[in-house]
Amino acid sequence: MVRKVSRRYRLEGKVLNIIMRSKDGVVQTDLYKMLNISSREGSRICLKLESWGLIKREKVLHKERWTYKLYSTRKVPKIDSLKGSPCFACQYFNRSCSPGSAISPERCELLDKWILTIGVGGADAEVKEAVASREEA
Amino acid sequence: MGEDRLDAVSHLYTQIVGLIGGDEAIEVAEALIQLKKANEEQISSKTGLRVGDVRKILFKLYEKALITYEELKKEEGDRIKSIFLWMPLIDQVEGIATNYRRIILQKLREKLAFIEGNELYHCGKEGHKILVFDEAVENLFKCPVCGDPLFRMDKEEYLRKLKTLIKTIENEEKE
Repeated sequence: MVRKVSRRYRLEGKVLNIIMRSKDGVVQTDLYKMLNISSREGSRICLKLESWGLIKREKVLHKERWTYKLYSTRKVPKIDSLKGSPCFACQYFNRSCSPGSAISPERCELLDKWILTIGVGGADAEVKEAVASREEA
Repeated sequence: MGEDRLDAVSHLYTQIVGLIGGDEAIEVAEALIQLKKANEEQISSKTGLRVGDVRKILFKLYEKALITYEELKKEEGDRIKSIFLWMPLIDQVEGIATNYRRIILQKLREKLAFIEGNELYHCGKEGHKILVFDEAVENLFKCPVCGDPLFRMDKEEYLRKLKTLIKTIENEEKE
């Protein structure tokens, strides 16, 4: 089934993308020019994104006019706790690894190794070695 | 603020690439970030890795949707040669990281339920199979690998470590 996406929905995505990619925020009036949209439509989209908590607006004086600078509020996810996890390099991840099957997280020895050695400074090297030997096998 | 965010995204990108492909993959990813678009030979000369190794890493990263390519067709006499230009997909990395975390957390929870709900038997030798009660009975309480007697595993330490790991990942998710 093909899902139809409205023009407004697409614009919201584009606006969010531009704001997220910007190095130090985007001036709201510049955004209208970038996307070739009216200020009425642009400000409504920005307000909506702000109400959803996806962006933050800061009042600034730009070219002698008061406008808003838009910043993304989305935090970059951290994955420090997953360091050493064998799942990243595992060939069965997202394929045949599921509960009850021949390759399952319950019986995964690599997971055991990671869990048991994580407390003593992580098992990065050991797990990598084990993943490599499993790939070779 | 924005600059910090871009740095953080690039850091996350290399972190994931490293977890998937190791240190050599990080070198390839960093070269791709700098070059923006490059073929295998250009990456090879930038990193000092062999073209074959670069290609292997590129396929691995492509499989995980961390890079993409553009195919250029070039006429060479009567043959058409394809040149692949590889590009990093940094925009996708936040979704990929969140996805990995969600799936790994789910796998760890499944493991926790399994460990809590079963009596486990092991011969004590590293790398040898851990058996549940039924399997241990079938094998007459002998290790199927070495034949040594199986002993009931003390799950306390394992469960403590597993629960701590799950809690750490959950807390990181909330941050």
